[in-house]
Amino acid sequence: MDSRLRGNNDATPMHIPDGFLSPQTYLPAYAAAGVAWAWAVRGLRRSLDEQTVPRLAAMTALAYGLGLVMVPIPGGTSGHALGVAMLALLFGVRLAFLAYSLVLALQSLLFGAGGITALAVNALAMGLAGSAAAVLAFRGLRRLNETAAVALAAWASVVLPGLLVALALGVQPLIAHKEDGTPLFFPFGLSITLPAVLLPHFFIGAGEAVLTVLVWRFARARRWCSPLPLAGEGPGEGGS
Amino acid sequence: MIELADIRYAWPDAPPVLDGLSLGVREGEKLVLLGANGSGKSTLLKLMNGLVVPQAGRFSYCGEAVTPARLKDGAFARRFRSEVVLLFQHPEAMLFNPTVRDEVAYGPRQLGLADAGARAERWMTALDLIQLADKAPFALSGGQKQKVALAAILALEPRVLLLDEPAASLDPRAAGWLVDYLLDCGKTVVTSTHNLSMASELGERAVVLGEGGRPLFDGPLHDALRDHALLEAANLMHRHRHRHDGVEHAHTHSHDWESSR
Amino acid sequence: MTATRWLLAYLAAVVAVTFIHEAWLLAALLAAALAAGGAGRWRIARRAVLAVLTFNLTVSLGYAAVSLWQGRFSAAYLLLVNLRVVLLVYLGFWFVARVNLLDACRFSPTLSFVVTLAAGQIEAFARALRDFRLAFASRNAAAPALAARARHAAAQAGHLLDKSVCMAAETALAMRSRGCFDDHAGLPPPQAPPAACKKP
Repeated sequence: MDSRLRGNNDATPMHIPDGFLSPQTYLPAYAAAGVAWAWAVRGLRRSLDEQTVPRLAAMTALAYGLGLVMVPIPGGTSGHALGVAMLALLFGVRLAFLAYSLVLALQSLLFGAGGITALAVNALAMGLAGSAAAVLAFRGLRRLNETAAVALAAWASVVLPGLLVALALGVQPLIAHKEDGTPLFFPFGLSITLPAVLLPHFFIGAGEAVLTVLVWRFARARRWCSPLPLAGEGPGEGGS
Repeated sequence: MIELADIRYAWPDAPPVLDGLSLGVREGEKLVLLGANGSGKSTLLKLMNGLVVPQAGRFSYCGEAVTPARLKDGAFARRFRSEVVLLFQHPEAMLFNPTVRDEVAYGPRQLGLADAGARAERWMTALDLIQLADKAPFALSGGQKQKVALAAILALEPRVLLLDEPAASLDPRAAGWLVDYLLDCGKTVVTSTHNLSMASELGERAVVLGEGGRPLFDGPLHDALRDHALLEAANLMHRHRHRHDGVEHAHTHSHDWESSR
Repeated sequence: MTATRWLLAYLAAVVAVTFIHEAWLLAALLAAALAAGGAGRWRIARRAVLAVLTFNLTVSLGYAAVSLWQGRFSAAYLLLVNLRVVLLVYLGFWFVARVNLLDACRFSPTLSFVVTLAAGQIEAFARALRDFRLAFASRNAAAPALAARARHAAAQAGHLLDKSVCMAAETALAMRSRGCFDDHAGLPPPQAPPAACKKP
């Protein structure tokens, strides 16, 4: 089942195999993620209706499915879509965060894609920071131009997680090394990881922006998200 | 025109759905693929459209072997894809252009045909889609989407039509149009269906696929439709108890099966 | 041992392995894991190596280049990190092959439900997207333009979006019909699925 579902199976820079992140990184990350998950679940409970649980399942499948879609990237190649901005803008940060966390868990524990140690880092970076960046960028810019706001939200939802993952990887030589300085986990420092990860993500973000704008228009036509008042709550906030 | 020899095909991580299948289709022939869901009809059509590669066996079109290597040749690919077209069972998988007009014109435009716009108009008119010309395909009903997909592939004026359950979502008027069109078009047509009452309108020859990956029958369509034992073996007919006139009995019969979606 | 305990054991093993910094110990553990792997151990091992090959090769070669240039190359490090990664990935694949995650989620009925539902829908999505890809290949006689590829991606995403929203609505109604919400008197009345979900 797993190989059929994993599509192209090429590892994106954000899907780090186990063994490259030190316990000093991933254990605190899990602790922080635990707090964040509790926050998200509590928030959903407040607006609980009978659609909440099926919705979470559906969003998880959606998030996974979006990751199977190949998006053309400026420069000629294609990359896997992410979909964090789409989910966050349409359904809110909490649902997006929980859905992506579940996707990562399913990928490592059900579909055999590995990465259980990196799960907390990825969930916080993509699912939480990515969603939050998308919603903040959108709210900030939609008064000026809605399309540009969606595009920038999508771009930020790719680049910010990329930055966080580059930081997580880049500090490994600093925090986990032998006395003589030889690395124990990921060997490259920030001076390498930052450009190596950020640069491709600028382009991936551009592809994601185009995709998200097109899907946003589709969602608006379908009325999956209703036009919002300019002041007040962002789209889909509160899980409703 | 189409030659399949000893084909074996299995989707990843699944047992073979076609095994030891050999089939030839002559130019102008109208062939109906009959079989229950899972018998491999859709897979066979995708194979004939050069979309999946068999693990064993050979697929040739007009005497030339169709392989991934051959399809990498731009000239061959253009010729093959404009001459052999496939209508998917779920037509929304085929649609991605902003308007119906763009969708129908896409294929001809890709080939660089000067009359792409005129062809689009012609085929939209033929399929009664003109009033939908500026609408987005995703906003249409299932039947309308199927007509758009059909128009899009017919606009290429292909030589071979591969149709996967074409009657599934079409309304009666559109289905009638399709039957008339197929009768008059003179093209080579391979249609898959599990709707026995439509089948007799769609061709003269039947290939019945069972669960073993090989055809259970290959011959005149009317003979197949009269052979109840064959159709029951292929899971196209069933028997169950029912009553009429106060008498309860059981015999094989079929219903107008709706496509499972 | 129940599935949940296997899951906890796997997680504990992963954490433990990341605290080990002696290559010989990791090699011994890898050998032990292979020995205990049972039938299919070599298939799992091969998949594990292939899964990390590109990433590890890139990192290893990059490390070799940078550290040799800086005069600080350590072959011991390369051995350590590659052994650790292969061991961890092998354990992960072994876990997936041996333990049913759905069983392991039994401690939480809500989680079980979400995971089961999601996994089923994911399979359907993967099949649908496969059809989209094949249809795109079928409709492109020449190499598709960038705009067409972008629209194709959007069409796939839109399809997934449609199906998920409709699936959520229908599942909620099905749950209500099966009595899942009878105890929750405070819930708002059921919502009808959105109009766009109606079948043609």
